Amino acid sequence: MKKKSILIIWLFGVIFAIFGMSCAVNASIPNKTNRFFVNDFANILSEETENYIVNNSATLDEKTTAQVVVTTVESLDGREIEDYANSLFRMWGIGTKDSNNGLLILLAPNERKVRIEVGRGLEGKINDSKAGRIIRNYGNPHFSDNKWNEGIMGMYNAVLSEVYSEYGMEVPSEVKEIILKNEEDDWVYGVFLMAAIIIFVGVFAIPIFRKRKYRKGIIGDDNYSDTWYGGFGSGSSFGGSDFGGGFFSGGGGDSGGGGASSSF
Amino acid sequence: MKNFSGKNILWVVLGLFIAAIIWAVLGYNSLVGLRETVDKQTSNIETQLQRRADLIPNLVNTVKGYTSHESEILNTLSEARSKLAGSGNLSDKMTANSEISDAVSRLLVVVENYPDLKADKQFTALMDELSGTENRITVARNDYNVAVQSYNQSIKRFPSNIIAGMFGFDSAEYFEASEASKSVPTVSFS
Repeated sequence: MKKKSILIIWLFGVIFAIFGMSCAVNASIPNKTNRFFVNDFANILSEETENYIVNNSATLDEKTTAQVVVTTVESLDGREIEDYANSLFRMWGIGTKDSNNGLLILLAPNERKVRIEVGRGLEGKINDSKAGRIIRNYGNPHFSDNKWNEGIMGMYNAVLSEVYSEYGMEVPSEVKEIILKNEEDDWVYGVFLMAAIIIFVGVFAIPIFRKRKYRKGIIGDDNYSDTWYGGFGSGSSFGGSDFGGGFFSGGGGDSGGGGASSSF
Repeated sequence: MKNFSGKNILWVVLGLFIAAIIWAVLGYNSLVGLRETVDKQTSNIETQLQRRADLIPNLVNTVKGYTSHESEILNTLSEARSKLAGSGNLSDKMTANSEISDAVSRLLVVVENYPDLKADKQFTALMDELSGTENRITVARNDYNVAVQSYNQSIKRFPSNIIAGMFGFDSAEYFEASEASKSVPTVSFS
């Protein structure tokens, strides 16, 4: 009898040891929350920011299957942020399994580090240098003043507009308009874009403007602009749906370690 | 009666024989699959190494435009790059790669003396790409090691080791990360 119970205890010990070993690798990675698209483990984001992210990411997911996830962590447990972000990305499976079209914005306020981890499927649109630019232009200036909400919102919006353009879609009018400053050698493209906008306004918008009342926002400003996209016919189908209470999860997407990180 | 039982034994033997063949085929196929994963991860590492090698000449040229005293680091970089491009086997390439990493982190220290270079858009973009690639190499190497682990385990474990021995599956080598390449050089341009 005694022998038997010792054997059972021993067996349990072995099972736990094996189980423990397989879990040890990702022990420091937290499980996703039900809101999935925003996981504020460091508790630094406002309710408004969180709702904004959940709603817009859910809409993006619905329209394109791409998933943009924002996560803040209290500690990286002594790991490199690149390593941590990649483990978390894979564990949660951000993006779909087939397209790997996920993206993770990971902020570690205590270590003062931030990373954009890009799934393999989005690497073409958001390459490492673009990810770095998004961090430096929209994140770091705010993060260095501990303005977490502003930095996250700036980066999130920049990322969102990139992902929408990857899928050849207009950014929904709700998304605060951010046009990436064309600061590299692609200023030529900017000139063309300006010309196109001017022509567009001249040819189409002004006649429409005469017929209907439109409010035109200023493009390229960080301010929220009530820009109408009525002329494109895409904004109209987008209602103010609220996804705040939903259960979301990843689709098994993978990342090969693309993206950029920075300390601030 | 005797005849009947003989027939029975024949069936049993035949059944076992077929089962053995099916087992061998399945085992063989799974080993092939595992080995292919290892190969795939190998080429994944090579792609990233190539990408890294392609970035170096651009970096060297950009830095040259701003500095005249740092030719020593730049030469090291160029040499490591040609080693990376020239060497045939993966472990030589990885060695060359960690030499590049060393040179890049030394360059990052030196860059502090050249504010204009540090602010150069081309330079910051290149450094983003370089450290991004470094991270991809790390991820690819880890994936490779995971693939090697499961492959090596199955060719050593009973009973699949019998098949591995019969068809000459050799064990694959792990890639140990060199100390220098373990940490990704982080760039801060604040």
